[in-house]
Amino acid sequence: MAAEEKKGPRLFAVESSPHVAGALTTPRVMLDVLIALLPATIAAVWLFREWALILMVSSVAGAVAAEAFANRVMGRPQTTRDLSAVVTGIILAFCLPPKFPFYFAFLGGAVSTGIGKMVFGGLGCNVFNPAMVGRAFLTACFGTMMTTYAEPLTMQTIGLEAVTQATPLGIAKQILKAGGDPEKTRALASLLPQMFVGKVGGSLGETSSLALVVGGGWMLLRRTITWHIPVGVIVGAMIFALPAWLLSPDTIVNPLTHLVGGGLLFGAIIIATDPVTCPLSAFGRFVFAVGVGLLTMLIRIVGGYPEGVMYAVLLMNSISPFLDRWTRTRPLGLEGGANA
Amino acid sequence: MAVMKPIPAQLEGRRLSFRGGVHPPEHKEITEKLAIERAPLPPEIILPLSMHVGAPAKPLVEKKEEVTRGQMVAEAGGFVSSPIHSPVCGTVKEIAPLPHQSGQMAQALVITTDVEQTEARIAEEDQAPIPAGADLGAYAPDEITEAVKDAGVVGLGGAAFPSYIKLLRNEKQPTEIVILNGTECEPYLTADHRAMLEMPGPIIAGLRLAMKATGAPRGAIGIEDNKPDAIETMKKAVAQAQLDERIEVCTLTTKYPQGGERTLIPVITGRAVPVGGFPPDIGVAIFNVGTAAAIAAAVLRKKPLIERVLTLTGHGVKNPTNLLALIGTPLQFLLDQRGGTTDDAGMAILGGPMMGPTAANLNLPVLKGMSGVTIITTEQMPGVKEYACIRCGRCVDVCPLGLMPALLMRLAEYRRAEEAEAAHLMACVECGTCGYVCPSNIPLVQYIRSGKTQLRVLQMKNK
Repeated sequence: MAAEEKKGPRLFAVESSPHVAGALTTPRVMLDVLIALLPATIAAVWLFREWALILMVSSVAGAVAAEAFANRVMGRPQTTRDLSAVVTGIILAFCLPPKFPFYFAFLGGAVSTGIGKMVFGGLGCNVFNPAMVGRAFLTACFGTMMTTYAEPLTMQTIGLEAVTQATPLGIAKQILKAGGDPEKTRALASLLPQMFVGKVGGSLGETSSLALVVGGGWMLLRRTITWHIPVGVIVGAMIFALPAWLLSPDTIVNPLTHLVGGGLLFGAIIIATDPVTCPLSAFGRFVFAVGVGLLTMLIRIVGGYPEGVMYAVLLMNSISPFLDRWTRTRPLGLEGGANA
Repeated sequence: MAVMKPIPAQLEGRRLSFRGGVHPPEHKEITEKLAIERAPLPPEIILPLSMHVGAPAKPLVEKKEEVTRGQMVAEAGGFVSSPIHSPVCGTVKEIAPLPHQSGQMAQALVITTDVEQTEARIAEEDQAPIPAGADLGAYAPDEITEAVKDAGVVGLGGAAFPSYIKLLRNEKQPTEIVILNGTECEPYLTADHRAMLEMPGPIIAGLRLAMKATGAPRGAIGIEDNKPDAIETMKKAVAQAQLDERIEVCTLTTKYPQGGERTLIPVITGRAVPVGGFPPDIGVAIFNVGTAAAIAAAVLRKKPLIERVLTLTGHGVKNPTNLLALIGTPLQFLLDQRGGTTDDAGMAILGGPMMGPTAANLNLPVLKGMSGVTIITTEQMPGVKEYACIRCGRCVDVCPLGLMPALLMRLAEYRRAEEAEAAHLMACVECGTCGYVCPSNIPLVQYIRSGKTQLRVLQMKNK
């Protein structure tokens, strides 16, 4: 063998340039998202104890199992090790109320990756945010369970001293439907600090704004996300919520309550930032995000639901390809193009 | 056309940079401290007739004909073309198709070296370095351009575009500034770095000649801040020469691809090269520092472009070095002289790893535009495991030209070349920044090249 090699000129590998690659890989990107979800996971376990763990494990199991099954059926190489199904499973679990049945969480996870991603061709091919597909499925099938948040008695038994009657935004909706209630709006505003740390009723991962902001900081640092989407969502929401509140402070709650009282921050930092289902350019992402913020508030203030992030994201996902077309970058050296 | 922004009055003293870009590991420490050595004479010289942009040169000699060092052995094949000169005294062995760095066979002259005679000729040559302040009074602009043309000078930075064309006067858009590119942003390569340290005189003289030929009132030398010694050397050489011309040495942030002309020019002048246009459109002429030295040798010493500095480097080379080698020297010969490759050598790159093409073997000659050979180990070779595009947008973030590589990739993949063209496919200079940064390890540049080929095929069919 060695003698044979010496005969001809030495042969080298050939390929297209560049011949050096950065250290970052797609599984590492997914791992960064998981790391960013860690503070919210810890907060969820602190607030909801074993309920949180059970739901996360079931949802992730469903998501991973459906992806593995789909790959098997389609005769494709396994892709579960890229961790994207784990991310989807955790995000879905974060959208569930603490006492949601674990087998339905498993089902939701399976729908997320199975219907939300694999039928489109797997990672990178899906049109809609997979976790939001799973959440929409669960909302459609088990609507009451999805909006039944842990009751005071149950909460006490798991040792939680929180405002738990309903979610802050549930109360906000009641106020709106009643045509205004200055006392309740004031009471709600006084709970803002609790909302910020998460000691309120709500879904697993949505409640603690603090934990989400910490996770978002990590993703910004690692450039897993850019500022365009979180800022865009908040800007979009505030464009709607602020004038509405100023016009009618008795019926419409403080914009800050909208910001930290429900799923808006979770949506802005974790959900809408899914790169696959949003436009490619920074400007496109900002437009997309402003749309998510506006639609969320439209649903919350004008529409019938107390929350709105899920439908806002799914609707914006559906027009993302069009946004992509209208928000291309202009190259350097073209009138109005990128600047040096 | 819109009125162009004036070039900043003061270029020195600012640290200049551009939007996007990446920081690949530089590995310049391997050779940056090693002085340029003259490579030994090879027994045979291979001169491909096509080693520049444009039409191949036409041979002026026949088989068995005797040639001398510096003799023109092939003439320019058109306006955009360049003559080729023999770097050795010897005999034409054959004119035949031989392996070319493009991967195809290409017509080449093979000359058998008469070592004794060649060595004698080299010893006769004026080895005194050209001073930065050399008297240019005797040379009219046209004469400079003509001398550069006849000497077969082409861009030494890699593109190998005939230099004389850049020196031609343009009445419509006068040249306002001549820029020398000393950035050397490709990892590993140190040929330009060493040239700036060891021959600042000819580089500055070449810049002055280019300024005189084009009529440009200003000159600038752009150097990345990872070469502080080169910046200092050039500044000192400019100061000591007490020139009449205004020449500034610009410090640039070390970032790839700072040295691409479409990133370097806007950084220095504040003007972007128009998409589909060229530097002369905005009053700029730009040369590699090595090219400037070749221009000086061509005009002041009547020496054609027959040798160049190149870096032989990488962890796959036993004894890396910076060499002054004759054009046409087989790379395998140069390598063998240095003890060859290591056992784990895996890939031979002609140039640096970001843009250089690979070679299956090294039976290829040194070309005018070849700034180095980088041999990396099998372990350093990038992996082939590819993930789906997650549209993370990093390629868009880093593209120095503001293109959308992920979009171009998709359009090329689906063979929608015309849509890719509308998305400015042809503006891509294939710098490789997107491919470097892609977490999914997608060969974005390869897709873009494929898209360009599709477009060419389409245009040929539509003719």
